[in-house]
Amino acid sequence: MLFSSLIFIVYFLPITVIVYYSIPTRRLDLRNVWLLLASLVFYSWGEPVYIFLMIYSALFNYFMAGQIEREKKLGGSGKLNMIFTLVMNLLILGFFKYWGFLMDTFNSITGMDIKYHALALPIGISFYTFQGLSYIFDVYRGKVEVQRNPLKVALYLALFPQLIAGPIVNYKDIASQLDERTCNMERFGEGATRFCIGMGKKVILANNLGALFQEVCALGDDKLTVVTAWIGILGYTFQIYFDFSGYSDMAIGLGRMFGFEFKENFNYPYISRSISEFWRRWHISLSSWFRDYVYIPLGGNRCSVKRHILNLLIVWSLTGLWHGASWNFVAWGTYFGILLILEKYLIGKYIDKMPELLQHIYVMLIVIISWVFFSITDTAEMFHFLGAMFGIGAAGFADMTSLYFIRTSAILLIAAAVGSTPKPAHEINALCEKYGRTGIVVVLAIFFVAVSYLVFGSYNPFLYFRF
Amino acid sequence: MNGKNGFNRTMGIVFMTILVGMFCFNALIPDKEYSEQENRMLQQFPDMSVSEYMEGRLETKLENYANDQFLLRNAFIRLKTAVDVSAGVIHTNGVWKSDDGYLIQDVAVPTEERLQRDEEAFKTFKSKHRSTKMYFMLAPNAVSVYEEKLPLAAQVEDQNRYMDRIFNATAAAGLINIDLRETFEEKKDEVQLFYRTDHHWTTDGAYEAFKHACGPLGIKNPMEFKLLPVDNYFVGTLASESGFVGGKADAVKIAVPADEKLYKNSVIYYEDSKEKTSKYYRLENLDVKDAYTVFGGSNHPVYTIKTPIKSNRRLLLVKDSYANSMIPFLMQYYREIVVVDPRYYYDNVDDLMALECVNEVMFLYNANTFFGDDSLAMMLTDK
Repeated sequence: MLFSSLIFIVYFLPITVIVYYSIPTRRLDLRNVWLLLASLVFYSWGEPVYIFLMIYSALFNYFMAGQIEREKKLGGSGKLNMIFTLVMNLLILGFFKYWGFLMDTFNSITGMDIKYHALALPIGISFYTFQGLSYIFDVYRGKVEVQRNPLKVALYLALFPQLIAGPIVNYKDIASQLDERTCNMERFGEGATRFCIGMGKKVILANNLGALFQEVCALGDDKLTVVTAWIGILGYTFQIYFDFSGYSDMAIGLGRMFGFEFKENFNYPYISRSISEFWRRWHISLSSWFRDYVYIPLGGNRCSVKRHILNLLIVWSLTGLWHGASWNFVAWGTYFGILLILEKYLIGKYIDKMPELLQHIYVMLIVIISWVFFSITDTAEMFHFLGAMFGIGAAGFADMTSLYFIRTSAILLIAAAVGSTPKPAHEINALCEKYGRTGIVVVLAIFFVAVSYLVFGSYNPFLYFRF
Repeated sequence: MNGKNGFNRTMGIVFMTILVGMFCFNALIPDKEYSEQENRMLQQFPDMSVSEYMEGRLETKLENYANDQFLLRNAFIRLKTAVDVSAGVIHTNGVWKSDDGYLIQDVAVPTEERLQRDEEAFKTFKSKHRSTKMYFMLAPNAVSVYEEKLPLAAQVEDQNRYMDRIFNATAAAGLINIDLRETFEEKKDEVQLFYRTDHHWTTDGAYEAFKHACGPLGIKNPMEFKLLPVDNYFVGTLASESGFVGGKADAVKIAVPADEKLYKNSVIYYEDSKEKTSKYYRLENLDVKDAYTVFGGSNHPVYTIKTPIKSNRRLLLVKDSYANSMIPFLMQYYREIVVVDPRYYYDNVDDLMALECVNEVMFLYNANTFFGDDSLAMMLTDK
């Protein structure tokens, strides 16, 4: 199920909330069971088979964590079992997510034609596998107590707000909340506000920006001018930010409505002044996962320059691969890896001295170019698009189509640009604090406009008398 | 409401109330079966079964149910369109929000394969009926006639190019073309040729087309008609298709003979409903959603119109819905008109022609339906 669907807003969320708050506060155990049940329904929606995979994953990690802890008590390190758990988790992820990719690559390298049938990707598997691993690693390192109650491990992995698209919650951040958390109207309202704003970002901005990019991509090569290409990729640049950060907002908001506190996942990445700053602000839960569980164990930066560069390349190609089973994602990750190395060892000191405006242009140019090969999987098409942005192979600088896009999308793009700075959120916060009633009206207006887009999405006039 | 905490508490109460309220209203208010606006049946609450759930079908039904039965659905759709329009959107679901209150439908673009198939179909069909006179009337759509009303920077295909191409093919096959474009170009400022919120031509448009066609059809001294409005508030399908509000309503007109004495009443026989009537116009349909069905009711696969006149002209009219408002003008000049809509007619048309002793054939289409639909080629090449 998606947060941005009417069934979620009209049926799933109200029922979950009503039952949750009907259970007395002191029976947190029952509230947890209810949340787990709701999460399982949420997850199984539309493709129930993979629910068994997730339950298996939860139980497996639960038992293995117990095993590792037992070994450590007996004086061992638990290392072998930790590695076994890691390998098993990665095999599951690899089989469901990367099997087709591996076979394609193998076939194209060897020239063989081995037939295979890649399975549908279980929703959220990349997220819950990483959450499960963070639990195992932290138990292994002795950073957290092992969880005795399998239902709580399952709830940690399956909790519906962050299940499908993150943020990736680390077990150590949430362990205590599984046993004790505050649920009251203030938190519920805070969460609701966050949820409404996230929904506005996703449904009003991201979906329309996505449609804009799709429209540009659907144009023939003879119509792709420099201006049109830039409008298209700007559409995508903002779409991916509002889509992802909007979803994170909804997750954080929903979590808060049930008393959970998740860490922030985005912190206005498009105002960054260097690439390393960008990655401290973009998808924070993923980059910190890779930092804590891959980069630092590899030796981080406390090693020779050569080794450090290798570490960065490994981490960033893996980060790329995490985003999808395709070479363009690996290239995308490696591209950022190389840029981070360059920033660290070569150009960083010059960037620091540049005027602020140039720093912003530098970051946005690199990020926007990265989205070209993130969004277009076909290599030839990707290079054509990239070329067209800089006038190579473009159908001129601008034409009537460009004018049409400017006319119909200018307001949307400007709203998106303003919305990716901290200013509007800051204003809304100030408004809510000072003029509460107006604040509520604004937040609800965003909510209802978003709902109207969802309703329209299902608006499906059937014109059998379409003569 | 004091500061951050006060706001949060109030917001919490308000949002909780909205959630519970939306749930209760949606769950308690009786479901609707049919949407007039969208002209389709709505999803009802499905039967629960575990096996359907495991296959994912129950979820789809429940989602459709939540969408279709959503409270104040039409109000939300208006809200969405209003937001869109204020953000500069001018094109939704293939409809352009144009000047003077016009909603204009996109050009239907045929594939090369489809064009060749149509060309071949005409050739084959004409060669089967060498001695039968055939006419081909292809009406342009508002998008090309009223192109200047399209919003600035609107991107549409060139409809004329495809029309020229098919006219060349029909002429080569031996059909007599009736090309309305020049006449429409002359008349378009004097007469409102198309409805503002519907994809059909107006009765005025059809009347102009008829007057133009009299020459090629060999109709001398055509009868005068008066066009009388029977409904002044017609809002057509383009408005519901796009959700754009603010398109101007139109008058629906019917044609009555200027001189009643010259007029001969026809008898219309609908094969599908076995209904015999002398009334072509269905005024009772003015109350339904789509007032265009005033013209001969909804679509019929085949029906015959017999008029007691001296001439022995018997016409097979192969048509789409544009013909519906033009038929009343034609009726007076043919002893019999056999009206066939290939989109709903599945029998053999050659047999029908023999059975009804047809001696002329007219194809009457608007360009968008003609290029967007392949049932004509299927019917013509049916063995």
